[in-house]
Amino acid sequence: MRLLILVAALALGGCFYDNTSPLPADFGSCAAPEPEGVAPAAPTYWRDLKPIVDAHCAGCHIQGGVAPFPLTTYRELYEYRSKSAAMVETRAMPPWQPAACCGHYRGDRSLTADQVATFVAWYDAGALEGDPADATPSEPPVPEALPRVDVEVRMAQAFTPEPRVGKDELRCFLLPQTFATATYITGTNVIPSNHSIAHHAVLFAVPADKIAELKARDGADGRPGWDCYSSTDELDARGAVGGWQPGDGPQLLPDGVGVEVKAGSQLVLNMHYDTGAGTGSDQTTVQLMTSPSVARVSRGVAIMNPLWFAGDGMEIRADDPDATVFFAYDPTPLFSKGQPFTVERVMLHMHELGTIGRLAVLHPDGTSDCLLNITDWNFHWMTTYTLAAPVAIQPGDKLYLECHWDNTAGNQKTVDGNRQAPRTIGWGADEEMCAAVVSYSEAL
Amino acid sequence: MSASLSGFRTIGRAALIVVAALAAGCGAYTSYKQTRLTPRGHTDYLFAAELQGASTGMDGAPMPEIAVGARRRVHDRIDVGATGTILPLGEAITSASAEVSGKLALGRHGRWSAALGTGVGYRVTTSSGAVFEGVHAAVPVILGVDLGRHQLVLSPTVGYERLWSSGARPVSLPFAGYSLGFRWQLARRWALLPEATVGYTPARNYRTDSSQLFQVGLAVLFTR
Repeated sequence: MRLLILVAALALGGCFYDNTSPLPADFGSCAAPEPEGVAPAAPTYWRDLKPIVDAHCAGCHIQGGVAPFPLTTYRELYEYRSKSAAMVETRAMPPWQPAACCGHYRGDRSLTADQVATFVAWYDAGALEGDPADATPSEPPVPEALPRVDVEVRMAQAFTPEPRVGKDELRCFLLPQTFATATYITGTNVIPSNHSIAHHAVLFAVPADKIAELKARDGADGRPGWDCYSSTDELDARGAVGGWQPGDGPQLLPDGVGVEVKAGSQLVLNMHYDTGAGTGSDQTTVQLMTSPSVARVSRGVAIMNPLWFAGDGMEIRADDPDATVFFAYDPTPLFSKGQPFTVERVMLHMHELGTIGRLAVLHPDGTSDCLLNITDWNFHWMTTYTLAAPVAIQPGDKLYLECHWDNTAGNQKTVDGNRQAPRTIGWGADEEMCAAVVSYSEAL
Repeated sequence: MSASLSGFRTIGRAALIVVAALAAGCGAYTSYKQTRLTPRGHTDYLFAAELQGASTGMDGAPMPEIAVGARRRVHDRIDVGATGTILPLGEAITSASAEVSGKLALGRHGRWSAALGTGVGYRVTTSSGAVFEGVHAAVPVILGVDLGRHQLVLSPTVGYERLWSSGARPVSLPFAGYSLGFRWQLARRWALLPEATVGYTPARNYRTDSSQLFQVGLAVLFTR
């Protein structure tokens, strides 16, 4: 009887919520670096700013780039000098979320403390142009792009989302691209035409035997594409070959690595539109870099606690300033037959209420390696990070994911000019998520 | 889900863990029910093989497990029992459970009989170093109709399960369902008990507002 009472008490009690992070308090972070040098007394555009802006800003802030205005000349920068200096000083721009002292990544857009100091000093000193003769020779800025585009396809028609329920619509589109022979995708660039409604996209290569079924769905409800609530409703998630999320630019796999696409496959684009954030139509373009052969094929490992999907397993209560969840597991028995592998790329996913996201390798001896540490999460600038040096996962190690959310009134999104009220939420496309994918590659 | 998923090709395997966590806990509905009580002074020993699963909106195969148990009469109208189950799939997924249960004979009218059961249990599922635990309580109403030496059993069940693991909030899963079983009396001491159970929980899951659960099993009962 005592056992029955104990079990019943445990069942009805709330004593199972262990949210104590196993990470050390100083995990993957350090004090903001102080400028090492002294900012020039009177910085000028030509001598001091242009090298910084060309290298760190103009990849997006260029005519035809994804940024809303170019910053490729003195006049352009001068027009936005106040806003630019403020964004640089607060490190809101260039967008780069990983905290210093966690890891090193390819394509790091962040500025050094000296560069920030120079930018701010330039603005404080009157945003002087200086003498073009002082300019440091540099490569002209070019838009961020794949080194080579082998395939470029676009949605056949523009699509205007009209959600039946809520603000979200997930829609799939067959793209006019079939692969006659087996191919490896080595780079992707998904370019929505309307960023204000594009929440994310997943690109699939659908095997030949599934295409007829999807063609029958295409347009059956009188609108382009078909309802595609989730990527795994009609599409096998194992066929995902790339995608896009806010902040993403061209995605280039490590040298010699590719995602396999079987002969006869056709591309399908699964778009998630959020009409709470914008209006209008979208006609996304997809660019691919391909290769007939690669040395290694890319694989992915997902990190999510299955209980987050079930019931209230990821409940984020209204007004909670720091709701926290985490999950750790050894991926080697499930994904690599118990063999070690090395992580090459990492990606973390939360929605607008996210504040902190951490991704680590926990070793059996209690130590950890930091894969990603984002302490000031911005939904609009999540991206996939390629590690400068791959990190080894040994059997017995655990991949660890930790997410934090601020669900107080001050951190709610604004819809139609109205700040939303906090509400208790859980896992959902229009609620929150905590997920990560780490990529590795296997020799063919 | 998110994008840049060029390597997101093996999520189906991870989905198996979802089923393990959910279905493993929900399967133990005080299984292999019958209205007959264990004969006075004897013990029923049970050996079973079963398959259980859950429709969670994700991929994932049903999971097999084996069960052993014993029951004994403790009162004119009451017997009690204990059952243990194990799913030994190595590091990928291993699950084990223990349940204690009691059964009160309510009455008999001709070939028809009824009993009220109750069971509480604990289950732990480990998958690649991650641990999921759960406790459950279930109350089946057992209705039997004798067919000669055999018995056809229908058993509506209500219950509650609570799952937890580090880093997640505890999950409450009220559930309801029913079992259809048969006691096939092979010999004086031996019986076969096939049973199928379906259940429903209103708790949402990956892409569903509720989940359906099922368990099918075949038990061998030896009375000594």
